[in-house]
Amino acid sequence: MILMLSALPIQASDTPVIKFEDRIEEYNLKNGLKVILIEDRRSSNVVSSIWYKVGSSYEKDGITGISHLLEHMMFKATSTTKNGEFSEEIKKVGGTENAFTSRDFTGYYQKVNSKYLSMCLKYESDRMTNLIFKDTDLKSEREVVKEERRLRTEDRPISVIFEKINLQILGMQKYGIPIIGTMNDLEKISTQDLELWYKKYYRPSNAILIIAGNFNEKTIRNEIDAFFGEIQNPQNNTREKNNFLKSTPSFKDISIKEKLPNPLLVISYIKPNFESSSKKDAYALDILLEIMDGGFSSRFTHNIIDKKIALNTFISHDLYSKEQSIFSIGGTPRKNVLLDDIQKSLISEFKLIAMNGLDNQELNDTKSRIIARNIFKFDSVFNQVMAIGGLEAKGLSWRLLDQYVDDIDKINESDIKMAAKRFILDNKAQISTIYPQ
Amino acid sequence: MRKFVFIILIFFPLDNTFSYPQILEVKGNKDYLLIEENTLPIVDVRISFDMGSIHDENKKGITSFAVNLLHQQLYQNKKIIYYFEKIGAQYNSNVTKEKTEFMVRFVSSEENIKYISKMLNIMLKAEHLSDEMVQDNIERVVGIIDRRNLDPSSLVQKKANEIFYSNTTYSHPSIGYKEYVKSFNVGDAREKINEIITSNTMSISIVGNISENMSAFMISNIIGEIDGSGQIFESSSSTPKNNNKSVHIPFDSTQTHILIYIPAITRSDSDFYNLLVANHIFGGSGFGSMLMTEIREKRGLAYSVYSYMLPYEDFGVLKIYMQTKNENVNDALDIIEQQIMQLKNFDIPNEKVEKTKTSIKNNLISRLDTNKNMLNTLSAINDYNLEKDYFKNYIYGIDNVNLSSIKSALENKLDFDNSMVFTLGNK
Repeated sequence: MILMLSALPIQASDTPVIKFEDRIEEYNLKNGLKVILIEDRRSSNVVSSIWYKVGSSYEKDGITGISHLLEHMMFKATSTTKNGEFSEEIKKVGGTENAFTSRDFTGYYQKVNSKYLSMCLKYESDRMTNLIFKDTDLKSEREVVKEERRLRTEDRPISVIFEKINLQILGMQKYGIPIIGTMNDLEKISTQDLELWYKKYYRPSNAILIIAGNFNEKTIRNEIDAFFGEIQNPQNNTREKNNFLKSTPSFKDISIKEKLPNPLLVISYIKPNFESSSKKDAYALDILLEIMDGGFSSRFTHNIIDKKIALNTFISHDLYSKEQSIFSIGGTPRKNVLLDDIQKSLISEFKLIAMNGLDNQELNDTKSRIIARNIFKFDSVFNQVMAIGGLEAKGLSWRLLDQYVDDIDKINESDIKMAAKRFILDNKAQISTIYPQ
Repeated sequence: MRKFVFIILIFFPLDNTFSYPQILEVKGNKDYLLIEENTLPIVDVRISFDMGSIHDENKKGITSFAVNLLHQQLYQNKKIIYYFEKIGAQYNSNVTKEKTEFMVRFVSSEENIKYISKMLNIMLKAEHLSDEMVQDNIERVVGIIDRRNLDPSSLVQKKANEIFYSNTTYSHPSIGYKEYVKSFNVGDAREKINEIITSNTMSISIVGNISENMSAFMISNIIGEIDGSGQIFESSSSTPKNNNKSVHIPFDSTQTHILIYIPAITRSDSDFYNLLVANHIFGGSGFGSMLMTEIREKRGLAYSVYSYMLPYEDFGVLKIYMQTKNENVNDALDIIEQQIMQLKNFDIPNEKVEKTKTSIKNNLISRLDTNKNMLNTLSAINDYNLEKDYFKNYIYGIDNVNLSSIKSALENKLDFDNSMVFTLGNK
């Protein structure tokens, strides 16, 4: 054993940093389409993706879920292709594809052998402007989305709870709007609504094309130009402000019964968007939450789960939020432990860190986990695309990812103590208690 | 000669066999496989044993329970998991019906290879199990069982297995049942770990920035003083016979979950590739598959509908799964039944079969684009004792599929008469 301990392991922070800047080219077409090319020659694959800067946070009461419903409709016919043709072609060449909608963006991607990249670009550019909206297509797709809502929200108590919390604290606006929309709105959205939404947001100047993998840069630039260069932005391309009703956050307690086996406590806080807080504050909170619940050896596990107070704990947090957002902490108590007790235990962990700080070893171990994860994401071209697109579509730069390791490294004990005070102890908390039905 | 090779190569498609990763048997041992991938400083390791929940015997859930204790053992006052996380390594374990596996991903360096392999050895030797850990784990596992029993997609799976595999060792969930879990003690856990973790039944798959020599060193460290007299358990279950039953499980939910089991084939069956192509067309390939087209695209009856083959050592199943709002369940069942009939008749144009074959072959190389994906494939090769020439044989297997070989496989190897339909919801 002595031998083992003398061969000290290398912490992830000691390994060379992999940077996107060594593999990225970015430029804009004349029509405003932003292009990001990420070179990665580990396989013969490429991921071709397009990101539109529109998601549920752009919606309003009455048409909630429209961005996501439009994402579904994008697999239908265009003026030059038939329903499902793009998907069929991707399948034929052994590729995979999917799409996703978030609060801030809607994205589409295909993973194929690089020799089929041109085909992806052709179809993707086609559906940027030529989509046809048919009532018959909407009729079936609306039902598909309602089934998706039943599957992911209505029959999942945890999703129901978080939908309620978001709505109460943020209101039916921006990040308070459920991405999938309400059943009521899903019933009402028409092909005209969808077409307007499409014409408003699906245009070159509101999109980012991100291609990653094994490609020839010169060829790909020419192809992008050929397929996307001529697409015009519609005349009225200034983004109209949504008519949001100003809603005041309500921190009133929620207490409900759901189909859960054990009680559950959720403590939620508001935090400012990434851009309006300093990087230092945002990353200090990131590390603080990692220290608390970032792994099996975190403080929550050690001091709350292992001390037989909670069966499990969780933290939900979006580091790079574009709008004011909610982050939550919580857990399920052990038998004979009250929700009040688990609440006290969770909060006392933040009090302890605010008062006593932490030792260098714990801080270094935590940073090591974060840095290793940063290296692991380069294993997948798709993950690289998601990391870059997720920032760029929120109006943030991919360079944040390259600076991340240095920025994290600059965070010290006093920043973390401050974050515990500012974001948790001095911040207003909303308490939700959920009991088994 | 060189010129000749060049000419040949430019006419070869990119996805020919030369692009496949090279699989090395570390020091000539077929249980220790390596794909060396040096472009990133990452190593992925998977250690697996031929024991799973089918070997639980009269302590249902003990394999999963015992395996879950290993990373929680205290070593020098800290849990073993702490030593992994300290250097940013990611650890996971998993117990399936036939396998127990441990996965670690870490940043590569000679020091880390030594460190991780030593820690894995300490963990697998299981010398630090305690009564307290067992008691702690009981409440946690019971909590997970309770949660799964309230989740419709987990519950339909559990109930279907209990009925379809009744009277076989495959019937219970890997996590076990509350009444069994509550009775486990440290002796049970030790006994099970000693049964599972033996060096002669261990397979190790490694992918990443590590040489064959370092892999050999790592493997020898992992094995350390672990006992090598493990028994190789033969499974002896035969395909369950159920006579086309339908079972409804009442559950308060907005959707009804539909799960259909059709007895099928093992991974080593000569018709594996025939049924792989058939399933791709039927429901295994997302948009454009028969199920997706009829259920989702045309009628909007479900968000997700698919079929997949689940091959076990002695038998296999073709599963179909979807969920739809309670009012639509009869319509959905009618359509699935029609589609199963179409699968049975397989009145599919030859052109479609050929396109599917090309798609599957292209997809094989596409699936090998990350260390994680390569590890999954390498582990399957290791687990199923597939040949080192797996990639070549896979292509060969698909190439040999044709319309009449599929029809014959469907007729002889899918036991439609013994299929079962499970529904769970407020029908």
